[in-house]
Amino acid sequence: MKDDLSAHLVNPDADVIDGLLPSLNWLSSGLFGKPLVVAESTGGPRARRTIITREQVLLSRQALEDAVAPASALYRATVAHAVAHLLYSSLKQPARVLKPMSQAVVSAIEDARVERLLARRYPGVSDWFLEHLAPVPEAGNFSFEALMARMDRAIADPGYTDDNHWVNKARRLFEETQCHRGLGDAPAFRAVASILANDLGQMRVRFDPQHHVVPAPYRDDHSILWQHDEDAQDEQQSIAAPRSAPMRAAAVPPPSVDSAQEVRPQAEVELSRTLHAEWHHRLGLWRRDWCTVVEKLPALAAAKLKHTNPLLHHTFSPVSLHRVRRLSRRQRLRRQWEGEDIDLNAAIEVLMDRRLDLQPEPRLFMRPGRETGASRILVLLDLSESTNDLSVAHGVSLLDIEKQAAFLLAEATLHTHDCVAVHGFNSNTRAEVSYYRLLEWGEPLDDSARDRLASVPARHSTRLGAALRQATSHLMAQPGRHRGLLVVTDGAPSDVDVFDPDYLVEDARMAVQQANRAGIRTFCLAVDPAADRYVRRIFGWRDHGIAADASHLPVQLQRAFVRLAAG
Amino acid sequence: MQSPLHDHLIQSEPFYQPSGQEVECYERAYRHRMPLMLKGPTGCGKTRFVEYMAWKLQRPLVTLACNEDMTASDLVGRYLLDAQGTAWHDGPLTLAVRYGGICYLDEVVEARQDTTVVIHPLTDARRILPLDKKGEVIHAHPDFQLVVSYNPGYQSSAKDMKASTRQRFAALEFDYPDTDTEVAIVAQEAGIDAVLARQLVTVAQCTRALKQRGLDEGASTRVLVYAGILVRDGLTPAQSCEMTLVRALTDDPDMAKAIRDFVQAQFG
Repeated sequence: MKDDLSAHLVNPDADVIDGLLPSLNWLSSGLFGKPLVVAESTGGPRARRTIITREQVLLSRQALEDAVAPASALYRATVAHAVAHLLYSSLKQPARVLKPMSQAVVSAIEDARVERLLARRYPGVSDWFLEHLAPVPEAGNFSFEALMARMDRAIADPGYTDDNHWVNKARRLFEETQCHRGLGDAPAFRAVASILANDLGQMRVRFDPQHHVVPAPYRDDHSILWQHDEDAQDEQQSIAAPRSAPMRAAAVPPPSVDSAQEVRPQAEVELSRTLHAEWHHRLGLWRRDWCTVVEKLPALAAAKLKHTNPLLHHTFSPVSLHRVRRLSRRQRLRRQWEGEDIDLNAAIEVLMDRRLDLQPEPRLFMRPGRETGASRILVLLDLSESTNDLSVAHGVSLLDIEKQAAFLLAEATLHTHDCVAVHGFNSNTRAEVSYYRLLEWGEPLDDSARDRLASVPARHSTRLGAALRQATSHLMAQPGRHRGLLVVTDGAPSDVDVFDPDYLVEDARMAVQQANRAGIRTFCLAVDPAADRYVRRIFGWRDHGIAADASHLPVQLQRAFVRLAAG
Repeated sequence: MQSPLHDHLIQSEPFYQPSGQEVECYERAYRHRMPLMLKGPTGCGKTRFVEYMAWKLQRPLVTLACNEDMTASDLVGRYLLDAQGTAWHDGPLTLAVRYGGICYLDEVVEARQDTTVVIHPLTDARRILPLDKKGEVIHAHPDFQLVVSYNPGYQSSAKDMKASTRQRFAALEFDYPDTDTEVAIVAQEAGIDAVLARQLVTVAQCTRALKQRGLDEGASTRVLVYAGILVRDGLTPAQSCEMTLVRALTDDPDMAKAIRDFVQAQFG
């Protein structure tokens, strides 16, 4: 395990964090008991410590440089520490009333308190924390950081001895407060921290808010604990931590601008226009011929450049699909060892053999055989503007990952009886719901298909209901009984001409019900950790999956496909 | 003469820890011989509950695990060849109907829909089982009751139960018990102390938070009992959980690491 740290130090580009993110995401959600996303912070070199928000833990790559243990162990402790704050801390307390040094001491005591509380529920995490405390400073070092590091260790490690009066006082007050007031009494611990901060003031210990970094590399920057005023005066006084947030926003890379978009593409080819009704949930009525769905082929001129984009091909390994098997009454297997009915011909032969004193053939049953394949699955991709956002962890847009996943799926089905089509949609008000036909049923994956898939742009909004109705009409024209619609999206339905957030969700729900009534199974894969609130409503409690990270999409898409194909 | 269902009588009391009013609800349903559907995730105690009720009511219990290859003949019976020609052999459902047992169809949605329709005439006011191949109509014994179970969250190719089948049953919903009850169950079943049982339950609760986010199902009470038994037998908690939780729940190395971390967060 030591190796992954050394690999990181030798090669700063080694993607240590990326490899750890899937298991850290599951660890955080499991310990927290509900979804909690772990991602890498893009805060640049100044983000020395992890940043916690109510929904996210943003890991700092720089923390790794201060750590002595492997990355996997460090970030595991970081995640547990974040869960401790989210479970037990009062978040976003007003910071104005405290001096920066008091804030730092209160935060450190709060760290120790919530870690102990978490260790009551998960006793093993104490060792995780202990392993990553800052090393004991030299004996003569009485700087603020050194004293804090010694206090952290004195409280966390019962076997540690220190000769400093203040450190021992901190340990004694902490233990007494725990004993008399209990760990749940946060104000009592805050009072302890105030006493300790006051002592430091008396000791003339110097505190530099601009350069203060929390000593333990697994701990966060404490910005989750404090609510800072936004006026300039306070900002000057505040410690380094809260600045991480705006810095993080500034550091997020701009939306992907493909070289292809710089070349003026040819016009898109319009195939047809269809009017669809839309459901108004408040009035309880259908708005007839309300949405115009425009079927298109994407402009191909842009494709040539995009086609050279290596991301489109080899990032994910190919998927292999299990063959789906179904029982079929049309194929009756005769002369079986066991089965539902007696095979009359075989039975007659048995009786004849008996009369002739021959050994009868025991295989005299019939049973139904199996039928394979012939599913028709339409993969419907969300091509709204938000899919252009780069994945924090991978530096690739969701759009690219969506396309790759769909492409790999189509490639995998070429060798089966199943048939896949890939369509995409976005919307710019009800007057223009663009519906792109990217790959037709069973079409070979030649260059023109690749180009079409590669060149389709992502823009505008997500009017899901209209697109679902269009996709349903395509599926109904397909033969066979096993037809499914697999939707990949990254956010709740929305459009610029709709202001009621429930309106498009309810309309999409009606569209799903219409598809189900027409014998088409639906399934939605949402690449959005907060998708619970709408996908469940639209697609039902079972027919959806949530991918916390876009990198899970190809595997989840494959699973969803198998599920739909099984009927 | 001994009843053909004598072997299906449950002789000793199975351990069952109620987590609500389900025992009373079942008894009232049985008073009217009402067909029952037990819903709930895997390993939460559905089958144990039926065994317990069969023991309590002193009725023989005929259990059948359904699968997609199961046919109507597997339920009701079939003709087989013998020395004299063909002879009818009752299936397990027919036995329970004739002699008054509780017939328990486990994971009923796994059976094909054309198989499950044979229970329709048994589960309405008629309470009959027509054996069309034999030309016989069996009127159900007064003590006969049909119980089915299924796991609504099962994420495979499982189909939903048809409405016409579903509405023939009264339903009892099962879930993993609350923490204290589950701790008591694991401690009792595995023969371990409550502290260890509580730690195992906490690990399971972490995995259950990942349902539909990487796991189809979290760790069940049953696997916790397995984990406890192995610890009692001398394995360390980490070894036992590796066998019964980590390896059993997932093949994905990243997910396995996350579950291993839950175990370590608990046992160090």
